Amino acid sequence: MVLAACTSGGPSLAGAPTGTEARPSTLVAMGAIETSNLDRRDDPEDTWTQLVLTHGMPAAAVFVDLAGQNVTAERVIDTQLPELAALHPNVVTIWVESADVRLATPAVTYQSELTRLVTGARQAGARTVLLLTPPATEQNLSGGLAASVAQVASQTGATLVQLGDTSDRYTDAGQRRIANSVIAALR
Amino acid sequence: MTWFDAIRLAVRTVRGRPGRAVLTVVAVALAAALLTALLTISTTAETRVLDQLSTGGPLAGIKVAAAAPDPTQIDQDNAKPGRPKALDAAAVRRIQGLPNVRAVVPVVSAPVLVLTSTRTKGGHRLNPFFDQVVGVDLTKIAQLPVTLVAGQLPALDSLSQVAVTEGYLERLGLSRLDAPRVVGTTVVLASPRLVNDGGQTRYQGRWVKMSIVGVVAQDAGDGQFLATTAAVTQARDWSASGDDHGRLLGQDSNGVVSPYAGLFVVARGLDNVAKVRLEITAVGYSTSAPENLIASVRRYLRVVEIVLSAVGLIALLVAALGITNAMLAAVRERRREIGVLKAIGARDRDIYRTFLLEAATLGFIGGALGAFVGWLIALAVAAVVNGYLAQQRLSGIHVSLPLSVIVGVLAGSTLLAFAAGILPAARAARMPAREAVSGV
Repeated sequence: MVLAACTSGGPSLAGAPTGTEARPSTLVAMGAIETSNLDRRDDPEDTWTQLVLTHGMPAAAVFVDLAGQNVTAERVIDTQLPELAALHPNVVTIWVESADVRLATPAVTYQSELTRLVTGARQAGARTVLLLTPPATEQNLSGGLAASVAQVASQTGATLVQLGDTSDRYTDAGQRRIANSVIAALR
Repeated sequence: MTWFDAIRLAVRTVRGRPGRAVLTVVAVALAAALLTALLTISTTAETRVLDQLSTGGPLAGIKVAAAAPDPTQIDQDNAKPGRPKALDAAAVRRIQGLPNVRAVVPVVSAPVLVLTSTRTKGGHRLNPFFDQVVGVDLTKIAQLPVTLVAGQLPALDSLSQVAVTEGYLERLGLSRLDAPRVVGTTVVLASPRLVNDGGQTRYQGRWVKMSIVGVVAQDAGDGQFLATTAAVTQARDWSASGDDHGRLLGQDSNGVVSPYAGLFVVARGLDNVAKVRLEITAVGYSTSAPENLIASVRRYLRVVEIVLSAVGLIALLVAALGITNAMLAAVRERRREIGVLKAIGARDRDIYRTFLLEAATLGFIGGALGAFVGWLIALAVAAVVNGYLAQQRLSGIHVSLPLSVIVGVLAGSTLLAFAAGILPAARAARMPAREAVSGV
């Protein structure tokens, strides 16, 4: 009877919780569709943001996705920046270009808005701000935003992450390439 | 002859015939040992079975759901809850204030999308799946129906440690024996929030990379992940910050999101469970508790205990017959001694008392020895059982010898021996002095 009574386990105090731990590192992604990979939501494990969280962040880490669809830098300031402080970010990635390119946002305006985003991220507590940008060859619609991103990075001290060819970003290999660039920048 | 003289004479007689006394004591001791071992094992088994029924939590635990009670389900163990009803701080205070309530532990939960890189037993990658993460105050873990299977529980203030249930193991095609394999692996839990993005509704995720620190069997809430209240509250806050104001978390008929997924209420004793459940129903919430199941199991265990006691008592009766036989032989052997005692003035009742005390002394010594040996037998059985449990990676059992068993076995064997001595004592007392002295 004892055997029968005992074969399905029993209480144990051996695992009583103890100890404390540091607050997890928080990565916040701001920007547009290219950040949140809205077009790849059927397979979230292979997105570049997940790969960065899994392979580029410490064991205890949080990733918050604030990205929105078809947003310009101005829209990111209005809708995403206000939320940042409450998230206590350690690292912020900003990748917002396509909508500004499409709407032909003047480079000066774009630079000013991007600078506000970087400053806002720092004020929210982020020690590392990564500005992501694809090669200038892919930005032929306006032709100047890659240079603007580089200029803002140099002026604000943000880390510029020059992505390789992102034309295949819809594939697993493309996502891995983006993730590797970001992870390299974090190190 | 005084009682004291009778006791001295009885003890001297026992010591004067050590061979017969030892054999009689051994017979009683064996029977008492059998009775002690059976009762100890039965008590240990009952404790373990009831622990299992309450999943390691208190037997008097009651689960309260964030739902109105269904009047037709009130006395059911697993009552089907009625319509959703927000369970807020005010409701918690009211339930805490009920008489016969010893403790109230709130349970929070949040919906999550789960991503794991751990491969299934067959080596396949597990597709992302939706589940719930359950948060409790881990300082009150002893009051909750949570049993640790492997590893440990999350640290008290952890935001990134989680324990998984056996349901997670099953998803991976693993059994309980494989539980240590998942300890130390990571899992990503994503809390969703609904946002209106350019006219389209979509989800935004808050993804938390968490370390799996343990495997538990938990019945505190519906979910395969157990974390701290703080970790789950962060997940809930994120979901509640959506444009739908937390509709994902579930709302009651008034559109209110319940702050708590449920409560775990501990009544003051098993007898008060039904009363407390009725009181909580009156407050307006659905409850469930395995009270009927526990009562049924206790009845069955009682029957088992009676049967085992009967086996031990039969052995004691056989030993008592041995005492009667030995004492009758002693009466025959000690005719001259009885005659001399009577010749120097001992009355029949003095002789009667001496023989009765002699029998009771044998019973008492046998009972004491038997209780000790029975305890050793129970320990030996427990060692074998614990060896088996260790092989199965299950927590062991702890054998305790209840005081009631010691007292019962000692008193039982002494009284039975006393009763067994009545016939020989009466025969010795009735023996005429002249016949006794002549040894005819």
